[in-house]
Amino acid sequence: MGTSGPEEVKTALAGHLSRLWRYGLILTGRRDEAEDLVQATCVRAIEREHQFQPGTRLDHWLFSILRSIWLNEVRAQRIRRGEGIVDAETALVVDGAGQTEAAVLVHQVLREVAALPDAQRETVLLVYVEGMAYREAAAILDVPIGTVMSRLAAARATLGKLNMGKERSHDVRKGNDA
Amino acid sequence: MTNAHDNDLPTDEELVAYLDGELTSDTYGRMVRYLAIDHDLQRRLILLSGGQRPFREAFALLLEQAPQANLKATLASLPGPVGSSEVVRSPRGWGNTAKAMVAGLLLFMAGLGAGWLAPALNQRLWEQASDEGASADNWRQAVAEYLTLFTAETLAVIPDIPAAQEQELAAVGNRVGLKLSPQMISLPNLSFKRAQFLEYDNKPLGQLVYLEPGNGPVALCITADVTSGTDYQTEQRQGFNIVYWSRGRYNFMLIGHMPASRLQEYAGVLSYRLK
Repeated sequence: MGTSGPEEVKTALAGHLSRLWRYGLILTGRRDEAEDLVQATCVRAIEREHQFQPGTRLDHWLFSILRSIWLNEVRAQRIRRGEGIVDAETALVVDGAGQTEAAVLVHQVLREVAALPDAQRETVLLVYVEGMAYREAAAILDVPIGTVMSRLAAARATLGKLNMGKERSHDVRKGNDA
Repeated sequence: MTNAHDNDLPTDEELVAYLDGELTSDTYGRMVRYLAIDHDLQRRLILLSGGQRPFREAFALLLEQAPQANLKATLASLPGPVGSSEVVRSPRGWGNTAKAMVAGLLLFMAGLGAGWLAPALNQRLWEQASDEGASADNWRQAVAEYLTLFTAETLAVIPDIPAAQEQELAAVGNRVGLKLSPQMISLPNLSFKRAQFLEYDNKPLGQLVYLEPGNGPVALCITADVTSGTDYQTEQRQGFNIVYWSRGRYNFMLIGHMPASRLQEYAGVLSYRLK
């Protein structure tokens, strides 16, 4: 890729902006900061295009860059400024919530994922939303695969228990109706 | 967890890996054995499978909320021209990377074959696919070689747990970007046994394995790629009959020992449902 230059990097980058922003939103909890993160990621990717390994996933490389900027620069500044953690549940609220059953379900899923601990939420995004293999998510998160597995298991157990609770309350309602 | 038996029980992490099609070969056989006999483990699996959600659909809403105009304008302000097409995934970086690609079938869950076979097979496929003359057809050769590891007996011991199968299908479908459900993939006279996630040449490859009494394993394989939309074609590899075709952005391949005419009938059913 070293011979491709910034033009090709930019062309390729244009195809991933929305997904980068979504990842930035999950990390920062703020829409404006997510936008800034994507911008910084684009600048960094163009600067370092020679570091991209041919034959590997460009989007994963961009995710790694974005995460690195978040951890080492944006979050670090936020901590230095003494700012608190943004409530992810607020950040993931989507405007114009629909009234259909499908829309209600989708918003419920976002709320449930937002309520997970940060590390679990990020791992769920990479594996279950972005469709990454465990080893790919582990590489981006810079953790062992076992850590990815633990986070997913914890997230699934939490969500699974929520499901069981819903089923029980549904059964109780049905019983009352009867 | 106080005795050797308990210490050997699959963990929640392994159960989730099982549901996600990510179990390693050394733990898969153990998982299957325990799930067949351990009701507590089955209940745990059902709890964890209840943690599945339509994650991709839900988070697609956030993609719609992305300030695309601002992001594109920002990118445009940086040096160099900008492409305009927004794609879901980059198929493969950019530039001429073909010769440098790490090719080969990655077996994330090769439990149906002996664990020691996977590395040898992988190496062979890697060498083959890395040849100068390697073509897009190689993925079918890789799949055919992999399927030679399956026997009717290895599939017969896999317990039929509908909740687990549904989860496997959802997980594999998520990886290849195609909605998969038990109803969509069921085929007459074939017993669906499991779905697993593989990779070939850095591309996700979903494999759905069926068992047919008499003819043994049958597999449906799916890869997402840029396709030209080819009609059904037949061929033979490794003693298997194969029917392959492409629709939209997916390549499909149905492989087994049954006559090609029957495979083609199944291909017609699947092609209609998997759009």
